[in-house]
Amino acid sequence: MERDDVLEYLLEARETLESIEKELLHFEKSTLDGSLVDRELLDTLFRHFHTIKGSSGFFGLTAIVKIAHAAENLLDYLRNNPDAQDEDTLEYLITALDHLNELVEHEENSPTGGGFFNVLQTQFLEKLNEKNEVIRVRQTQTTETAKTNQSEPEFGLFQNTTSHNNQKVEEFGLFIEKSETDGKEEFGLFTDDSISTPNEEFGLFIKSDVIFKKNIIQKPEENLKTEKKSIIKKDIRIDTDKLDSLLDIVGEIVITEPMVTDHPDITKLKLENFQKTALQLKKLIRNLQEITLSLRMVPIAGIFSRMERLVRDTAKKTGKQVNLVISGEDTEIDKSIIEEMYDPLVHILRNAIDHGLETPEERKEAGKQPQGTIQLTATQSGKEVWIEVRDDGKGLSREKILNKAISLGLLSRSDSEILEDKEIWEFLFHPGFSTAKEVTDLSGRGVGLDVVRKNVTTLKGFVDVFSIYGQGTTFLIRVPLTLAIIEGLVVRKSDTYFILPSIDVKESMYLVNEPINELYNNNHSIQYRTNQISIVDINLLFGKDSELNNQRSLKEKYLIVTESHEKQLGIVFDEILGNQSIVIKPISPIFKNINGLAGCTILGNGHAGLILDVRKLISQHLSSVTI
Amino acid sequence: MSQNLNSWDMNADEDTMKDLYLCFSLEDRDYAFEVRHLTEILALPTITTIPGTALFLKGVINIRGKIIPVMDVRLRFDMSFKPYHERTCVLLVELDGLPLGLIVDKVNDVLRIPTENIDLAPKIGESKSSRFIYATGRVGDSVKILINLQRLLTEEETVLIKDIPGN
Repeated sequence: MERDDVLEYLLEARETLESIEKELLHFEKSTLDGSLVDRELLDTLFRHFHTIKGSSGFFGLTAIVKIAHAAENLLDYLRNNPDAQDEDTLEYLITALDHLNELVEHEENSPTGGGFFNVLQTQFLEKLNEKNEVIRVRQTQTTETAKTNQSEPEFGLFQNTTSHNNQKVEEFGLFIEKSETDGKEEFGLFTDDSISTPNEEFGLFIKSDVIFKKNIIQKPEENLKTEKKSIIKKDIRIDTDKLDSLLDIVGEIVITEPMVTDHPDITKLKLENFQKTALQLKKLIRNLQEITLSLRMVPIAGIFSRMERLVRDTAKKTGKQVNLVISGEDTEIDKSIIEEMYDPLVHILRNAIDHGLETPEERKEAGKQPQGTIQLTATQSGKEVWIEVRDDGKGLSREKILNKAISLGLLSRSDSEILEDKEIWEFLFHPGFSTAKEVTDLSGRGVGLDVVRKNVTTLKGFVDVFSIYGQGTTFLIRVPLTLAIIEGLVVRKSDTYFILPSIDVKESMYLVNEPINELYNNNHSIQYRTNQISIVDINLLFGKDSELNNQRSLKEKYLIVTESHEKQLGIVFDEILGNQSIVIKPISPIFKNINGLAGCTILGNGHAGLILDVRKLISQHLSSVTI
Repeated sequence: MSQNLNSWDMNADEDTMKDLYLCFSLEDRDYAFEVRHLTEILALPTITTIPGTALFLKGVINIRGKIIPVMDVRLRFDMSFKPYHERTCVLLVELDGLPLGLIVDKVNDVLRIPTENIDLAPKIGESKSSRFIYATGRVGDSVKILINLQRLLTEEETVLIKDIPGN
């Protein structure tokens, strides 16, 4: 077996394991109130475990096969005996999943031939098999079907003995369809009595199986269904370097296209057909660009769903009740950023549960619901994605943080009085502000928050914390969508092209007939709807004199009304070129102190365009000017 | 013998680059920097000015889909601005992984200046442009001024940028 094949399979297996995790958490949630889990959910879980088992067997990863097989047995039992569900069985399944993850990871990093590498795993397998054993005994007693022939748990699969008694339903439920079992069962197509050849294990993957079993009743529509499912899930993994070079090349094509179609050598010729084809080409290239740009973007859902497990485990460990509410998971963000967001989120969520939320008793005393709520939200805001973790716990204690800061010599007691809350929360991000033990004494927070900030800062993002004592704490991570596409309004001011993120633009208007009020030099306003809003020349925002001082030059200019945090500002430009999807490229760090620019982009005409950071411009301008 | 050859091979790349300097002129002075920093030489493309930065940072250019900042070396050396013309060149260099375009009047050639012909520059006052010079190189009868590219972007300069009114 080629190592590459194995690696590729393992990636696939990881995906399946992720789905299993998701389903299991769903399982847990849906059974919290004591209700029985959906048959369909069990089927899905069963199918996933089975897929793992089958394919891993194919690659000779016996340890994975064994654990998956045992989990499958347990699930099969649950399917037939839904009453048997309890926390215990769920815990078994989750632990099985963890072991599978471990095994897959181990196989990726240090291939050893697919066996167990850890006593815990073998112990777990024994326990799980015992559990299956116990269940089986119980089942036999209740159903009184047949003698309790105990198949050897680990290798039951390959044993002929089992196929001769009714226990096989349990063991090989997958391959056998008893007349009374649900026809929907995933692999019902192998309806004959199982002939215990090792092939059975891989029956699904080896077509020749069909030849062995002549009396198979094929159910074409079933077959089709499973096939379809696997098609939907198909995607391709691509090396990001390849993607980047693709992006670069497409970028070049986009820039070269007008150079060719509007080439000076042909502009004077009448070429009607050429123009038609050129137009078609333009459209195609535009599509090509859009698709290429979106390739790197993935929904944030993947990382959010991994948080569910974390929250569950942390809550269990700390004895707290947590309701995790996730929203905005379809927000798209650059793949590389998503990966970097994992650790910070883990940190913040753990902190929120461990130190932010109170125990159920404390919450009752405080007049809150015993179950704490943590909201994990993603939203796209202009050039940024905002990820918010909001808990309704006890909030940050000003006093405790101040004391700690004073004891660390970060500030003097006399200074502490004048600090605003916001400045105090900043101490939490101070490296070494909290050492593990003291954190719990402190109202919480602080463990590794400096690391969180560092991680996010490397992504050119920001972390802020807000808190109201007694009501909760909110962490807000803002990260740019580097390489992300934003919709922007392309405008021109003399020779420079600017892009205003569409999200910040409220309205654009022609300036010709609008009366402009000059309050004093460099300070102009205009009547916009019911308000007087400040208007500026882009030069003014970058520290030069405003051209608005010379009102005669204002004819035939355009005013773009921008808005941030409900504050409006009008910016004057020479020309509006239209809306466009824009790839944000960072501005070289050589330009160190430019405020008000969010990045650069390359426009269709080959010029570099400057993306304005409207929020910053507005807040800067309004803090220097009062209307 | 074979051993010698091997070691020569291994260092071939470095050896061929070693002592090579790219020479360019500003006014009537000849400057040079180590060739290994150079990525390519370009005709001047359209420059998009970035508002609110130091004058010598002319803005950014688009080189095959990459946005690269350009610096006018004349302005950096406190010489007067000279309008760009057809033959104005951009020397694309890479400093600590950062690409940068240098606008110069004229590119001359690539010269080999052996180490023994290089004299470290004497401390000639604290004049602004002398800070970029680290040595002089003798080539025949002429003298090339060797500049330290990293210095073009030093920290103290960015403080100056910050102090420009309006920033």
